[in-house]
Amino acid sequence: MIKMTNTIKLSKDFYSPSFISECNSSNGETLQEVAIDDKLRENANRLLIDKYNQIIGNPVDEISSFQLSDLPAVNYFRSLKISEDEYFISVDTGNWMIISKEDYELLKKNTVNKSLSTVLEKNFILLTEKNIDSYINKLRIRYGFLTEGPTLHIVVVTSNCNLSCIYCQASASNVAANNMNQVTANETVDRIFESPSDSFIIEFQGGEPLMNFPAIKNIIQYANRRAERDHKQVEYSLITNFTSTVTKEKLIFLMENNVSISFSLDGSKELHEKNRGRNYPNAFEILEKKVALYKKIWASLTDEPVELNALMTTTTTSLPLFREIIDTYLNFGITQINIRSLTPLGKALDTKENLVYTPEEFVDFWKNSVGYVLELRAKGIEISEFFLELILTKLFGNETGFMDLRSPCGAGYGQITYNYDGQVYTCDEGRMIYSDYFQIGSIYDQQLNNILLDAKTQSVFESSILEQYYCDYCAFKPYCGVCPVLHLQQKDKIQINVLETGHCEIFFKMIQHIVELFINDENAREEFQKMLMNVNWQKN
Amino acid sequence: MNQKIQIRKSLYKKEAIIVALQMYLKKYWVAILEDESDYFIQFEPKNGNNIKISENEFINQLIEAEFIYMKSLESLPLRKTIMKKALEPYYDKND
Ligand code: SF4
Ligand code: SF4
Repeated sequence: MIKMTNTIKLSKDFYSPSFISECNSSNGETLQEVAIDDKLRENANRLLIDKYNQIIGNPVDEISSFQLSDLPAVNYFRSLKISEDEYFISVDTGNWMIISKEDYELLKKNTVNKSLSTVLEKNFILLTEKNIDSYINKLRIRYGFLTEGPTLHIVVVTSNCNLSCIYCQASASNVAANNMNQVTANETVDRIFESPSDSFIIEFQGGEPLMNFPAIKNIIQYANRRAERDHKQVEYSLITNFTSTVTKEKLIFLMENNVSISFSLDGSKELHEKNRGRNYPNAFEILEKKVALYKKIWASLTDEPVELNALMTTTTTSLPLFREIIDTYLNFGITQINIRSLTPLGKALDTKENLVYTPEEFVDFWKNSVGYVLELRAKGIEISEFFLELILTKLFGNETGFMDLRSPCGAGYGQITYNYDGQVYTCDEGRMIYSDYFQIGSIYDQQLNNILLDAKTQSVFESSILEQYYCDYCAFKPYCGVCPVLHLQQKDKIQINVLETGHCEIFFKMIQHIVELFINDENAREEFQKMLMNVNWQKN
Repeated sequence: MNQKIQIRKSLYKKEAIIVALQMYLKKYWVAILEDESDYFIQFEPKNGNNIKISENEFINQLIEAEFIYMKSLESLPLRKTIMKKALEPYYDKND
């Protein structure tokens, strides 16, 4: 997991100076001016506008039938009945409110009284001359990511792995041809530095990336030189299984270069080892030793509290074990758990292992985990859950930068994956699928700009825009996103019928659960407020 | 078993019917048939599900869907104007 500072980057000619200073004072966020590649920026915006217009009607030039001077007007709101007498209503900026059935009926008929209209105006459900600028500015910030260029560059330095976890597409192998060589590594860094973004993250993935440590070292050293030369800021992260591939020398190098390390931890010894597969007994014991080594080296290099990040994958075996899993995280000193559902790609789909559960089963598991997290927090134990924090942050006003749950999603325009063989994909998941739909170029043949402007990249980008789906009527649309990769895998097309997918069911119920807890449970509300005070948002 | 619900064309728009039907797609294959004056919505259960659809409940969904659809249509010019302003380069506040 990557910690990000709370900085929003805005291009000078895209935002007026008065708007920038307004944001500075009202949100307390640091705003920087950055140079953005014009063509890319225009293109991302144009694409969204064109798609938006294509989805909801006439071409862009025919939109003059509404003038801002026609205000006040009721904004387009989406609603959900949450109880017999209450509705949840939201608008595109993510602002929302709970409204009584009576008031909802008045709103439907456009006959609101004065006191109701004041509340509606405050929440941008009623747009007036007083709040319209602020509403447009909020939307501009929300879509600010379109102007940045990709900020997450995933480099797959090898497809080899020393394990063969039961849910992973990689199997144990150690073949030189599956490693990124030095020429490809350098070319990859060159493509990354063509990104218009001023600061970005390079994330190392595999297979097991530490099996090709020379490539990691080479990329970090070369990228550091390029960053200095080009005045860019680069951060690193690495996802590892934290087993025999971890050595003292590697850890020292990674820590000295501030690489944020995340390792796999699925739960208690029994569960963790079951998932690691038969070829790797004692995986948990080895992990404990490596974590101890990590903590020791950390303490020798800095006085800062140790940073430990882990990733868990949920299988059917995990479902009843939510307490044990969270307790294991706490025993390791990890204070955030990410209850992720299994990505149904590759080996995870193998029915022999019986890994896959229904969306309802996963949501129950997540709800139980959140319940336990809240129970522990009430006892003063520091622990949080990734999606709980993510959705809370979205509900209370900020777009988070998490690319898999936003519209359009991160594919290409937010993140890019460079494979060990030089092929470029929209995202890591796009690399794992059977189809080459998400393979958008090669580092040898095209510059990054051309890869992003390619029709294929654009079609993936477009297919994740929620307005074209049923989502445009869904009250949770401002907090949600869809995944074209998963849809292609499951339904053989990237045009999404959201309500047919487990993805929609899972996220609808997760958001609904948090809204209901917030409204009905005073203790949960108190904990949510504390969590929101401490959110240090993560990027990918 | 297949089930058919009859809807008068003079009362509801086809688009609203489509919005209302989204909720049913997970559990049913759905087809919209029509003659001069009516739509006939045919539900065919998926995966052995044999829950009968309540006609009243469907009509309630349809009333809400008609409102949602009309609201989204009416708000198009407003939404487009705002999106255009939010996404296009900023020149002047009074532009
Ligand atoms: S995917 Fe489902 S929950 Fe998300 S916005 Fe679309 S309809 Fe709503
Ligand atoms: S296509 Fe899916 S996995 Fe790829 S960035 Fe979009 S949401 Fe994420």
